[in-house]
Amino acid sequence: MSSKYNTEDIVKFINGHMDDAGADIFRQAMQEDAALAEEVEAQRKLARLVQVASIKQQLDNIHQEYTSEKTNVIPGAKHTKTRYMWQWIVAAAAIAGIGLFLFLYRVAPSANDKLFAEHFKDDDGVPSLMGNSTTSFDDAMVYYKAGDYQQAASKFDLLLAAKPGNDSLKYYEALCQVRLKNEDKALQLLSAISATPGNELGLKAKWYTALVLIHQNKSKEAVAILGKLTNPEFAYSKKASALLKELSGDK
Amino acid sequence: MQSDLYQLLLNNNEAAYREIYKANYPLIKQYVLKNNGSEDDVKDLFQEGIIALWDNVHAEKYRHTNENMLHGYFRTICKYKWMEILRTKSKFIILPDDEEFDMKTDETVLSNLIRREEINEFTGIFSALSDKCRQILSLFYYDKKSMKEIGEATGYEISSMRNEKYKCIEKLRKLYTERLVRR
Repeated sequence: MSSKYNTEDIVKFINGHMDDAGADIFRQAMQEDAALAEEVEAQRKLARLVQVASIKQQLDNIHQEYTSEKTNVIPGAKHTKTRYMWQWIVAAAAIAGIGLFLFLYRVAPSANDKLFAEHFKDDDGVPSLMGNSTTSFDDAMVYYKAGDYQQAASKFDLLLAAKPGNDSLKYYEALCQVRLKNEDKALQLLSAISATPGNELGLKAKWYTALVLIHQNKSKEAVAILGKLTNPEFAYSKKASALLKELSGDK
Repeated sequence: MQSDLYQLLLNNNEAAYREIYKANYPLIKQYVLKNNGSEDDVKDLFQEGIIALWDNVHAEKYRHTNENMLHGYFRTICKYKWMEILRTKSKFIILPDDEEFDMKTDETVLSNLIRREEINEFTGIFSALSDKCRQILSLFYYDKKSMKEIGEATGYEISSMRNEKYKCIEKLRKLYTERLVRR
């Protein structure tokens, strides 16, 4: 393209940000210069691609925040009509509260909130049986995978009372507690998981501990933990390094 | 307040999507689950609906009068898309009339909504770029920031910023063209 217009001018024209006189001259130039007209069309396509992909990225983050907020407001563990009615009432009140909060303050999530939302993914869990022969652990796992963290947590809690030294139970209950916004309890459980070398669960526990600390704006502590995960032999080394990079970029 | 949401959508403000989630997600969820869909379907449909709404608002295919109308238009888009999805799954289910989901609108507008495949293709191409390029291009094309603002957000001087942006655009152009050739 040999035109006097650069990409910024073209995008300004596409976005309707050129003044009327400038836009008229630009249209005239497009009629006289086929290469410019072609480039305008190409820029329109590229812009739409980036716009759609950017929205999708934002929507994924919002969806995660929205669904975890919804989960958080679900109380107690009885399957009764009353329980569901209260769930709706509490959920509606929470949504109204959040709406009012956003309306009054129009607060954007902090950089740490964004990092947490972007990186915190549920553990895939372990395979669970779905028939009559399921164990209590399977039962809890089914609730966890279905996203009913309240039910799952109460079941893991019961199991943990019977087996207080079991790291898997501590781990999954901790992840439920994060989703239920009981992050201090989650940190307590995660820190109690054995960190012996080669223990995969121990590494996972460290990863989630770092994420929760980030969410609590304790970046310094999170950085110290992530630093221990960057050993290339560890499963989380790449993710930890990437997160450290993002954290340092925020500072 | 009536036209705030519309304005937020036009300005590509994230608050618009949060507002649409808050106002419509429970309704859409109930609708899809009642009509042969799953939780995953709800998420996909909802997000496609928002993107299609955004697309039509920016292409001036939607004539705004008030916020209720905007929500109704969004739900109508979702219903239309859900019918399409059921059709592709060869599930011939007649969706019942529902005043929440049946706003009178131009059929040609609804039949030319951005498709799921197109959204997936766009996100696929975009995710093939480096984090830095994604950030620069998103600020440039989506947030419509000036070079100075992009430079401040990314830590580049304006001159090297232009160079980086050029390289990112060319990389994106190449990926886009390659994808077209493979079709």
